[in-house]
Amino acid sequence: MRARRLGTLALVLALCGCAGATTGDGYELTEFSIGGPGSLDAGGNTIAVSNDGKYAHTLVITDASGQVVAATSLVDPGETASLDVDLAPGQYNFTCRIVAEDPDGNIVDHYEAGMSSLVDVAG
Amino acid sequence: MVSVVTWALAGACLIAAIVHQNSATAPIGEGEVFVGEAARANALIAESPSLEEGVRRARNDLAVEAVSVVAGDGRVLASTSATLDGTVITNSLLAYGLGDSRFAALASPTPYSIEIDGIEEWPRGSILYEVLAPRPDAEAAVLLHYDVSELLSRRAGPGEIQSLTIQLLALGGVFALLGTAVFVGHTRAVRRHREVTIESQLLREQSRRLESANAELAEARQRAENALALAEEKMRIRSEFVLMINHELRTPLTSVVTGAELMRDSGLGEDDRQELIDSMVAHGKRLNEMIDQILAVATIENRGLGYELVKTPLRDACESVGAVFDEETRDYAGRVLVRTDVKTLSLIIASLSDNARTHGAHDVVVRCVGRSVIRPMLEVGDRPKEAMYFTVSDDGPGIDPHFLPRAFEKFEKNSFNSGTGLGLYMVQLMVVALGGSVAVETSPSGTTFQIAIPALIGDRVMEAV
Repeated sequence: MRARRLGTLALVLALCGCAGATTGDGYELTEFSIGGPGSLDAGGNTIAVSNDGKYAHTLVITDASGQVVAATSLVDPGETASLDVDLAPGQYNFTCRIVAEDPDGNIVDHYEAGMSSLVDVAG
Repeated sequence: MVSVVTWALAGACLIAAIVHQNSATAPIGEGEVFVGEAARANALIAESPSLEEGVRRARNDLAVEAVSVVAGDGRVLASTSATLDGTVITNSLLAYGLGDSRFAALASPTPYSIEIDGIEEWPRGSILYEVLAPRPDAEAAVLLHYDVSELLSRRAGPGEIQSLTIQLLALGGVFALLGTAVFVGHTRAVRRHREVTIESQLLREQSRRLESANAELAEARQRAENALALAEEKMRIRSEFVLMINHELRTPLTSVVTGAELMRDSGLGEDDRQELIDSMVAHGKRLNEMIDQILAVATIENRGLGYELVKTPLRDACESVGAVFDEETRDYAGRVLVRTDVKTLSLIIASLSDNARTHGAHDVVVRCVGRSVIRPMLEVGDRPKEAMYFTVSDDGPGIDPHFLPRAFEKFEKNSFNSGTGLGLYMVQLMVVALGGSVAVETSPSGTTFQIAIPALIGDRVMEAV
């Protein structure tokens, strides 16, 4: 548990370092959905991410071919993060790519559980 | 049937394509892959003699970037990446997973670099999938690193048409086209079969008509041939008749004329003169008989007998024709009537007797019998249901079997010198006119003609009287 807290603290500190650059609409991560705008403008975007749930989450952005465009580190509950990403016009998938075993021994795939959101990027 | 099957296959392909597309594009995570591959990696490491050998075998066996074994405090005990081996890694995933000894996977920028075969393939900050799985019965966990883009690109993007879906649709299209082609072909085959059936029926009908026409033609030809043969036969008979007239009438006439000339021109003695006169009379009678015979035939042919048949006691009829009874017939002869013309019956018997003597018989016997006593080899006329029989039997040489079938025909005779050929013909004319029949049985030892005439026997005789 000590190591976990240390990791979380380091992550928070890292995220706080770039929090001032967060602009635009944010995306909320909860169990198990991703809320936020369905479309974005093409070009450079700073995407704000907040974890409003009770588990740690990530935000991974993939294009239509499955290539990863950007991803956050682990975002603990109540924490925020931001992503600077240059998006070409097209459709993207905003997902949480965590697979974890819960205290009951069940493997929970956050993406499969519903943490997926299609976002259109217009030129 | 084949078209239905192929259409069914096309439908199955379409359904499979839809199911696959929906399945492939549904949100599916990597959890099951990670769990399975992590277990495989742990198993390979456990089977290996050392951790170093274990991580190498696991990396070679799995499609991963690097395989490491990490202790609970984050110290890397063994790794395929030299940049990790022996270091202590402290990212949040490790804290998340190791702290509670739980399985965890996370796609995120890594705080360290990954080296593969001595080359730094993934520098710090590269987005990799880290999978951490506790080792059973050990205070350590296996750490797998995946190329997250390569991993995610294994799955299609949302809404993307899968290649297998396209292949299934194409296969379904092929089946649908095949089924349609088979159906069209079958339909054409059925139509053609019907056409061929109709044509076959028409051909059979035409063939049947042709066969019928051929049969009629053959029958007509046969009739023509028969008519021609009959005409030729009549021509032959007429020719022979002319020859017969020329010979049979001229011969006695010549004898009479020659005899008369001899008597006129020469001085014959009384005996020669008397002999010549007897000969002339005999030939004259013979000539007269033949003329009578010819005229009688012509008369019967043209007008029939010209008199009515009367019921006559059998005994009277027998006496008229000179017939003798056999013992059986004699007993009831007085109770039998025959329906006949006695004069014509006498002519028939006389003609048969004369015919027998003409053809070499010495003894001719005429009998009256109550039943048929011969096995007829030829019979003309209709034998009455109730009949009495008169037989004329001779001891002559018999009738030539080749001539027998024509024996009762007009102008037919067995040899050129045997008369007019009208004797037996006239007999059958008269017998038929009497309502009876005439039959013949012949052999080299003699011939029997049997005349059947209508009779009334027993009680019917009394009624008739």
